[in-house]
Amino acid sequence: MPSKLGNLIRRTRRAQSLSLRELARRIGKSSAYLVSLELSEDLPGAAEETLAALASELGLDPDVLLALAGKTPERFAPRSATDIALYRLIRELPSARKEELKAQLEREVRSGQRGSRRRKGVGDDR
Amino acid sequence: MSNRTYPHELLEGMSLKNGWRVVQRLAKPEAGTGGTFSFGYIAERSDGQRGYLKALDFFSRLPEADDPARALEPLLKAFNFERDLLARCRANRLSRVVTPLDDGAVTIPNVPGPSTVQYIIFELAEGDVRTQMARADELDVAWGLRSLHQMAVGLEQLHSINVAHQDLKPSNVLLFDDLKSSKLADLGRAAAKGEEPPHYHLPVAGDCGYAPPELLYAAEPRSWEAKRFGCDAYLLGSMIASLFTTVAMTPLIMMGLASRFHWRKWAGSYEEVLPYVRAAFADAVSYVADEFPTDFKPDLTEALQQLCEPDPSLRGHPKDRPLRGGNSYSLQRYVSKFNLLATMAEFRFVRRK
Repeated sequence: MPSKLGNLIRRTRRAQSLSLRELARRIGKSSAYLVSLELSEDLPGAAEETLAALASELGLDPDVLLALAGKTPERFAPRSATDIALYRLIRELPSARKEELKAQLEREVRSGQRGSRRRKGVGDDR
Repeated sequence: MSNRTYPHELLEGMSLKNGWRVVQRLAKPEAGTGGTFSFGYIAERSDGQRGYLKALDFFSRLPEADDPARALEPLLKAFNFERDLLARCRANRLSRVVTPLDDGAVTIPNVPGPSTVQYIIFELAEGDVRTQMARADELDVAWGLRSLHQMAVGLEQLHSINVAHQDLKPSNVLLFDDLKSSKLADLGRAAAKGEEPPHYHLPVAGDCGYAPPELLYAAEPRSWEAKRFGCDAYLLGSMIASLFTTVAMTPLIMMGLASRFHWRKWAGSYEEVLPYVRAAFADAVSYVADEFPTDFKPDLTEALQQLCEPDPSLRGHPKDRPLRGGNSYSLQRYVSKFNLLATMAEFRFVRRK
């Protein structure tokens, strides 16, 4: 039984008329590896960089591939008890509320970044 | 194995009978499915012909054996079986099977213990199908179809003298003439009707990574033809999958099965697991067919379905079923079909140029 990740990669690859060999060449892997990724129930070890390369070639969201591969990027691994608690609480929320929270947090992060750039004088022509 | 050096490792620089000289030792090979262990060299004859010399290793494993005489017996039997088989192929002028140029024995001087090495010299290949598969980003379809045609011819030639190869895989198809000509190599796991080499009673004679499912699930067909020629038919079909995906049919089928139905875990009968295997087979065929060039897709898909059919009683071309008086595993129709497809692909290639 192919995994959800395998199904998504295969479906997208076929929709773009990309052959196994061509996609394997583009991501610097063997065709046999790609077959295994697309068809195997037990995913072969897929490094973060490989999934990022696949996402870039296929026009997919790298976070979706990482989530389907059950991987947490090293830079996003929880670093404190608060991180873990937040993660646990968010998982408890219904999907719709998660999306709302995501949008809200994205707005806050963006405005925070703008404020920080202003304070540092980034983009100031004077 | 101990670290001492054995006579079969010391042939470099030796002069052999019939004007042969061993000019280069090749990298140490891994043990193949053939069961015999050997060392490879390049040999050159006084007239300039070069060959691949296979030096047989009968002695390096004997010190580890509880009973060296018994341990030696199957090695000698396997070697003599393969040598006799190769002689038959040569006598029958099988053009698509790699046959030996020469064979003999040479004594290595100043070596303690047994110092005579048996060798066989074969035509020197330029590579095997893996070389070509790995080289191209996109498979050269004309080359792949011609190679497939030549493999089918090689198997048909062997079948015509009642020999089944049983170990057809990319590494056992050698390439000659600027990589344009394919020949079957390594008869170490072959079966000859009426003879019993040491591997005769093994359920899977060749490589388990390529073997037909009925053999992996220990459901050996009763007749010699169904077990041996049926295996070759499956392996030929599997080469279609290997050429276009670089993965053989058996792992493609196994990847589509829930793990409890995998041959390594299944404890029931083949009849019970067959519906699941056939469903996984259908998915695998569809997966491989997605990689076929559009023009050849219907013909290649049909050949793949017929040759790799998991039920050995349904394998092969429907018009060759025993009820119709045919040989179920005859490859004649595939020889013709692959020849036609290869010719069409070659013609298109020439027109494009």
